[in-house]
Amino acid sequence: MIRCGFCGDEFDESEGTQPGCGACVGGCHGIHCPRCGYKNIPEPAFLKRLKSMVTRNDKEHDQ
Amino acid sequence: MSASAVTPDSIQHLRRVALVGNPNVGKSVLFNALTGSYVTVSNYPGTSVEVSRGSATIADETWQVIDTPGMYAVHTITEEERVAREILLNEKPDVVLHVLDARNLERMLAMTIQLIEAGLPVVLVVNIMDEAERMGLSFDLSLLQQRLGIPVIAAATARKRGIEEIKTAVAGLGTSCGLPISYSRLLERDIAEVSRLLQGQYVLSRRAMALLLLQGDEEVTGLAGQQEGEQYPILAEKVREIAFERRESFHLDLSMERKEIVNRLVRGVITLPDKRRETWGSRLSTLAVQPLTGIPLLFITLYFGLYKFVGDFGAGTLVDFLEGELFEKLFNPWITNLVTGWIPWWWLQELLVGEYGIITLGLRYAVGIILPIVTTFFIFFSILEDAGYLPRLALLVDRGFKWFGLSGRSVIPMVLGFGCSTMATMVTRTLETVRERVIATLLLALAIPCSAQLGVILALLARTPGGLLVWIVCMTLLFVLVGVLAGKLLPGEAPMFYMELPPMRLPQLSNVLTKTYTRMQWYFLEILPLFVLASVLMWLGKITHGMEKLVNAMTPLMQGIGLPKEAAIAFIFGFFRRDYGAAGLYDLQSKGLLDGRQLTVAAVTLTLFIPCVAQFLMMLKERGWKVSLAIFVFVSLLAFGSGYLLNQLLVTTRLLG
Repeated sequence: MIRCGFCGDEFDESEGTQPGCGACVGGCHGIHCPRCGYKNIPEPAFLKRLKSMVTRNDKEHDQ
Repeated sequence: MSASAVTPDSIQHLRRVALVGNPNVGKSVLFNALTGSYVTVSNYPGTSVEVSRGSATIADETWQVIDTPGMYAVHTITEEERVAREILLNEKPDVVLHVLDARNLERMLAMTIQLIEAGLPVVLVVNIMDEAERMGLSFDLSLLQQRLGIPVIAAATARKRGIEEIKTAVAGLGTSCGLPISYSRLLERDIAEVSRLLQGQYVLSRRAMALLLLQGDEEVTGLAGQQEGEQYPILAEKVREIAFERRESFHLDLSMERKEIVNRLVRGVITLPDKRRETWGSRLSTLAVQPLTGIPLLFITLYFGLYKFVGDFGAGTLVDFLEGELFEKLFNPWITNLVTGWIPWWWLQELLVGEYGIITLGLRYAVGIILPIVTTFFIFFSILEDAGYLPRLALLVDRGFKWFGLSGRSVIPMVLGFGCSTMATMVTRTLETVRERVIATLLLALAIPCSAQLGVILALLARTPGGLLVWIVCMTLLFVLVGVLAGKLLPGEAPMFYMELPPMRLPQLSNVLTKTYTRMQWYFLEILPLFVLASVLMWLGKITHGMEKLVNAMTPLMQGIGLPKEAAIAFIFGFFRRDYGAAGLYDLQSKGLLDGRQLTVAAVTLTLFIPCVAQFLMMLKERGWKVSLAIFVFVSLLAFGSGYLLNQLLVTTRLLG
């Protein structure tokens, strides 16, 4: 889930992906909020992986 | 409950459950929990509003689940609300799940009342209970269920709490439509008088129809016109008569009565914590949306954020260091020596390290000038975004934007325009009316500079404080003048603007850094190839003497606004990309080709000047060639016309020496 930086709406990343305006080289990198249209920035893949690693380590540590 | 796949034909015959409620109450989360991955998202016929549909098995039966757009009341204002009501009217769901936020139960219950009096089969889902309980609120929902006469379920759908109870309530809901809601004697008399005249067949109860007619709901009035046939004029006359008797205060009277009913309903249902602390966030939020405090707060934010941080620090200190010290003094001389020493062909030397060289111009502009500016701008922007300031800004300017025929919703494309006007032009499609989209597109093309352009201009003019003041006055005057004229000349009303405000909070460093990093990464990856391409085109222009001809052709125009012929280069750059044009202006200033007056005139003209190629193409796509061409011609004439007048004024008055 992603929270829109403008209206605060929570939505799934897949809901917000649009073809984009075509101005960006290599396609749209934003996630447009399905409610207000605001262009949100997705979390970089490496940060997601890093966070999931940290979370996994925490869980293992707790166990 | 499990999700199951059904064919498009069979889905039409399924029992339906529609999720309705305000935005941000967790409808989509509940929808996902009910339907799993079998979901279709499509535009509602005749609109740009998307509606999600999926299927789910509830008590061994397959149901169609519809996630409606957010709505605040049955009496609709926005296109999303209209679509949500259309679904209730046309698709006749077997169950309406009204999802509301437990933290705002009092405010949102007014719509539950409206759904009940419309005769719809409602189940009330009091969602986000976990957050409400954390705030110290406690609820007696069985008492509320008893008072409303419909199932009331406590839920925290994000944590999967209450999902099973919701399923059970959906499966077990009979034909009961809740207990009757009574208003004052006077209002009941009005409702009865209108209801009595309604003879047609409606999905909504006559009582709800009467209330919507009295509220002047256009769609419901149109529907009554069709259904009542020859009897309609009598009905319309009765509605007019009541409106006249109440001196057009029906909306207010009804809202007050509903508020009173809600107060009675929640009495004993909600228990507040002993001490309800007002947080700094809620205090700041109040200050940010009230004009008296909000406008000074906005100016303070802009002064420190844009002027001091982006303009002074980013475009001043950082650019001076990167462009002035690193590129001009160290990197460019070194690379030029290296290339000229190793590569014998002058045309290749020119391409790499010449006047418009890929390295000496393209890379220098991208890394030395634009990068530090957009980095500081993205930091500032991410802080505002993460703090939740942007929706407050929308609310603050809503009243002012009405003068331009816009609503606060237009703040979204305007704010995004500071990042990239091309993408912002696309976002204008989310505005409610065609009129609003055209006005927003015009203002974006005219007076919203992108962050890099703004940063360079602020930094350049900061050295001529009088020039900066003139630039601010010119831009504000033209923005307001064109906006007001567009609002007056284009027919139509400014739409109403409602927005749920997410809480204000202290920006989180990790969020700000992540957002800044991602924005910078994509921006840089995007601009670098374009800057290289622009350098190649310029180089081609130089070796074929095409650039010289273009500059010569533009010379009279430049002279007309009091600028040297070299300034044409910045304008040509600007058509490739706005930030490239601003960087060109920076170069001219560095070479000492512009005095204070010329710099101010160039900055005003360049800011107003036609949008870049990408933005123009987007305008064509979104608004069609007639509107786009009209905007293109208008903006170009206005830019150079304003430049001419400003130059004459400054020469005559010697305002800037």
